[in-house]
Amino acid sequence: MSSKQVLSELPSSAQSTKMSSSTSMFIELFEADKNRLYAYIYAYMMDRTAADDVFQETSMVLWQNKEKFEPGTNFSKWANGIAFNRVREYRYKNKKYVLGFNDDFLQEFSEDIFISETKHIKTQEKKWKYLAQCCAQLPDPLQHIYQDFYVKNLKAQQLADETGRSIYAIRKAIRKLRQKLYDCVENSLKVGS
Amino acid sequence: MKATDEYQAIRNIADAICEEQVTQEQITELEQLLKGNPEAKRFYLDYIGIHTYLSSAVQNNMEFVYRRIQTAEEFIVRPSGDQLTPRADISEITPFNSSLDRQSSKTKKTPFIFLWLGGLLLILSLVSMMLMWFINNKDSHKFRARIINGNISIINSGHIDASYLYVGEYEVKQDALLKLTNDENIHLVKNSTFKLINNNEILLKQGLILINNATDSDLIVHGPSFSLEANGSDFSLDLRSSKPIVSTGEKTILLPNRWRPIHYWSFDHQTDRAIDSAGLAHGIISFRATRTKGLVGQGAFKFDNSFDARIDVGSGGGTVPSSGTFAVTDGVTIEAIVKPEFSANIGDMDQIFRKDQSDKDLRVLLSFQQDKHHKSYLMPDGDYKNKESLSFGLYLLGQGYQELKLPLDGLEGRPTLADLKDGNTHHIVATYNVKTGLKAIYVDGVEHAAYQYPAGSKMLSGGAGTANIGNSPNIPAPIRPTDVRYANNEAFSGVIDEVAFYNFALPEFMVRQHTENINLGNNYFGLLPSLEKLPEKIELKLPPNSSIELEPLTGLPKQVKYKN
Repeated sequence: MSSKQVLSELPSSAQSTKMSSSTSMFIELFEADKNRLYAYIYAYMMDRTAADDVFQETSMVLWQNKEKFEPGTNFSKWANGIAFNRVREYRYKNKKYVLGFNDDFLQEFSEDIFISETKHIKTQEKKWKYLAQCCAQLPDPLQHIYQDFYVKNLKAQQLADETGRSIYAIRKAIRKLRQKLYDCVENSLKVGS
Repeated sequence: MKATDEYQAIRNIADAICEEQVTQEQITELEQLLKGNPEAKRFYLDYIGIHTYLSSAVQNNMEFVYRRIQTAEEFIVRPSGDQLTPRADISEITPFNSSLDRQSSKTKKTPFIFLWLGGLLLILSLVSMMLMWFINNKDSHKFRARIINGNISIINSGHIDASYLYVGEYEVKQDALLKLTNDENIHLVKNSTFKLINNNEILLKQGLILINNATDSDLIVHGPSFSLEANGSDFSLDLRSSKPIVSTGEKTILLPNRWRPIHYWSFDHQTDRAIDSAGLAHGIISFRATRTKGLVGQGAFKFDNSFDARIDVGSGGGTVPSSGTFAVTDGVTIEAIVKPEFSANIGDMDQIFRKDQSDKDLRVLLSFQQDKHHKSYLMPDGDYKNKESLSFGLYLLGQGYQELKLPLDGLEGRPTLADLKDGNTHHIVATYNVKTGLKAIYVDGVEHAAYQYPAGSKMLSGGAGTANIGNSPNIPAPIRPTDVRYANNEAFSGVIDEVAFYNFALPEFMVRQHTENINLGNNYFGLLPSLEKLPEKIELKLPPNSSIELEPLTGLPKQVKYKN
């Protein structure tokens, strides 16, 4: 079996092996921050589809404005600012359909988080690492729930159908899983500090 | 008191949000609970963060593409799967050589003539777009397939007029036969769903499609993670199960969605860095890693087993775990061609590739080892003390850090170390597939070691630790006269070439194919060794007249089920 060259390949003279330095920096910072940024947006939107839309929009705006980011400053805070504006824009355009905080509270929430992220930046980075360790330490019943719900991405109803348990019981177990993981991360941070 | 108890009411509503079951009344209540309480707000955000992080919302829902095309850099964000609403932006590059250039170009004013020309171009573009839309609509309505027999209904934006089918999405109620403009016969079985895109393209979403009479055809059938080109021969595609099956004709061509490594160092560039021909992880070459004649292509590197024999390829931009380009979700493959001179002294280790952090949890390694002591994390269970092996180490959630061992003992068809030190080049591939839980090591295209974990066992990966080719990024233990490990450290001894890092597991078929390709003097992908970046798309000519199972995730051939 032989492989042919690409269907839409550009002439070799047209290609470059390097992105510009601002692009390379943007890619590094964005890749490192995108999970946290998504969580930030989801906390406002409270809906997966809406959060995906706002995240997609935010990513594009960040890219379009990457030259304006000052190297050495806090990328997360800069990204949060742009994300917050996209959240407000989405809510304005979709007034009838969007659940969420009222406008005044939205502002208060973002301001408090702005202060909190500045104070606790190191802690935030450690949390993800501890979360992964805490997942590995789950007791068996919760480990199964974790694997099925979060790894295999089964829906709660699917789990209920497969196990014969009620969906109420499944949701309760998933809530217990989240609580357990939060407590574990909190404890790890205390021990670590 | 734990925060989850202190903020139980907030947690209950946050759970409802995670389950997408929250009501506006609950949100109003949440506002009251959070109002004036920064710590409560922090708790809420962190709790939601746990859910979105664990559900890998970004990785599962989004794809990110960064690429450079001539003088423009493009960024595409699109939902994963078959949703067709990507967002893309292209920015023109103005090369800046210094901060002075950046400053001076910022203060330049745009001459009026350019604004005027820009406006004119914009108007012309709008007119062209309108014309194209008009032509396409006319053409799309013109393109039609003739229904020879069968019963088809419209799902979405379709049009059926007497015995003609137009562009749109359809479901086959009864086995159907269509004829296209170039006389191709398209057979679709009952319950198939498909989309007629244009004269040459069909998207099969579900069911079975058989193309024949395709002698002059360049018809393309798109599947969920691949496309198939008739290329003048008949073929069929079966999506009735979770395992796509292609029955190929003489010349069927496959375009898989995922085939490209995240990083690929061919070592053919004569530069002061080891250029990454797939990504941006250009390697810093330490002075005891020296250029030598390529095992494939122009260049390779020789490592002399000393501390400074290494190529540092960085962290891939990683900071926290699961960040950076070495962070993977679906699996991993590490691939290299080697001509080893491993000493096999007791306790010695020669790293082909190792990414690590000081706490070791995010370690990924592929190395020759001679284990001085028994270690509990070696799999499968066995006695590896004082025996040479190839080792592939990963941290899996629920399992911890473990290494798959390929004993180089010559038993059960396995190679010996002497076989690998025979002066010839050898192709080493290590893979882990998250979906199946299978971890494997291949030598020269043959699987010689495998271990089965629970399906879906995720890897810890990425993060701030750096990756090295030919060495460990960790500082070795202080010198002790009897410390054999430090005396040898973990530097490779021998030649390494063509190192590739993928964020998925190469199927066995492709590992064999890569071996065949390099034996022919091409690179892994069947292309002539080149200094250019790897192309974004590739065409794979499938074995003729065969039934081939494709891997759903990547669209790559997984195995040839039988020859027709």
